[in-house]
Amino acid sequence: MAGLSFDNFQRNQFLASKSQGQPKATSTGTTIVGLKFDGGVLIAADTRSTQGPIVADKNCAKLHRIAPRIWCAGAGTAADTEAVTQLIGSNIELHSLSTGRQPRVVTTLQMLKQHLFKYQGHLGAYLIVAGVDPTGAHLMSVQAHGSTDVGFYLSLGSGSLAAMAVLESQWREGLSREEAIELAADAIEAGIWNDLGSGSNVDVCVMEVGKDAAYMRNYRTPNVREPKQQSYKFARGTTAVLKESIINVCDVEEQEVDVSA
Amino acid sequence: MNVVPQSNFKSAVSSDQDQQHRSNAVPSLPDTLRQQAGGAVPLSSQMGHQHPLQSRVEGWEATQRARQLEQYRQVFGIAEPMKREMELEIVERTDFNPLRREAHSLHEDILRGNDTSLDWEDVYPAATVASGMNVANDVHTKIEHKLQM
Repeated sequence: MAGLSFDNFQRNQFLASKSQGQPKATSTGTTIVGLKFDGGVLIAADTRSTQGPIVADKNCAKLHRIAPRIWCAGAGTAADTEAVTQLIGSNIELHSLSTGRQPRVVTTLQMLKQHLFKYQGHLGAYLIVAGVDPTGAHLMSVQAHGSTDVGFYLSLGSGSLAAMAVLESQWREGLSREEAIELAADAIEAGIWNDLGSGSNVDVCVMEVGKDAAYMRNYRTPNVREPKQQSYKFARGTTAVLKESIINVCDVEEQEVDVSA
Repeated sequence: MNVVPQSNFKSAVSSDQDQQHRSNAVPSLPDTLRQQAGGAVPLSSQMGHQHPLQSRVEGWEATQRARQLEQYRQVFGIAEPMKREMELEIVERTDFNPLRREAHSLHEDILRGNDTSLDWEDVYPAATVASGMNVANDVHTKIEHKLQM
């Protein structure tokens, strides 16, 4: 069968029943937020990627481009968020080429929720979709089972509670672009400091009506690594060269042949 | 009218029904060589014990198609789904190409409304070579299926 292969399911069930234990699902840590402001919408994310208690990547990108003016922040299984947004991005491009119109955010949301619903939550993708289209700025979130939310400000991931506390207390209608960027970065920073699964830097992507999206990678870097006080590198030439020999592995000789003659 | 495929739980499996590859000598037995399942597989493995997603993903397209046709029937009458099914049947009969790897042609995709969408099935097509030998789904097998030999 094409697509997902279930060929080894029965074998794996059998092996799992014979072995000591099966691998457990790991909870993933992330803080992502999205909020609307006067004339646009923006999303922001932290950049820590974890595998259980281990920090796998200190500066990963959690903001994905679906269309030039529709971006998506992903929490949950990193590979699933990446693969799902790429597939829906391709579909959105095909759809807009077929209809000859700019892609709509609602179309993206519909495609995402239908795809995730089909896989019954086995694709662990929790997404905040934001974008601008001819109908204005839109902000929505999709959960792994296919349910969706619409709001003026949203947060997802393990650090969503810390981020939502900041958004709840400081968001108001009619924020300016700069105020909104600072508020989103503050909300992500609340996740970075108060949630163990989130950390490192803040990524922001701003979408304003009628303008191209502005992706600000590492907008804030509150966790810059301290430089070492001393250098422990050995200077060049510390190890003495006792002898040196170069072996010619092959010798190539070429001779020009005039073909035209 | 279902939105979601029903789980295809089987309480009984018969050896002479639903076999993809039947033995030429004894049609009630499976052709284990062409089945490419790595030898004789117990029939009990077809009963239950499937991943909960399997029946859902495999039956998804067919269920959506059935729901769509049922809705067409309710809105426009029986002529509409009949026309669509007949058009699809014409394309399927005239467009048979045993050398094509993927299941659908472009004409079929247009009639099904899939011509401007992608899914995992397009990115990861079914393997035609199962265990090193291309006997399970080769040209001859496809022609035999087509001609119901």
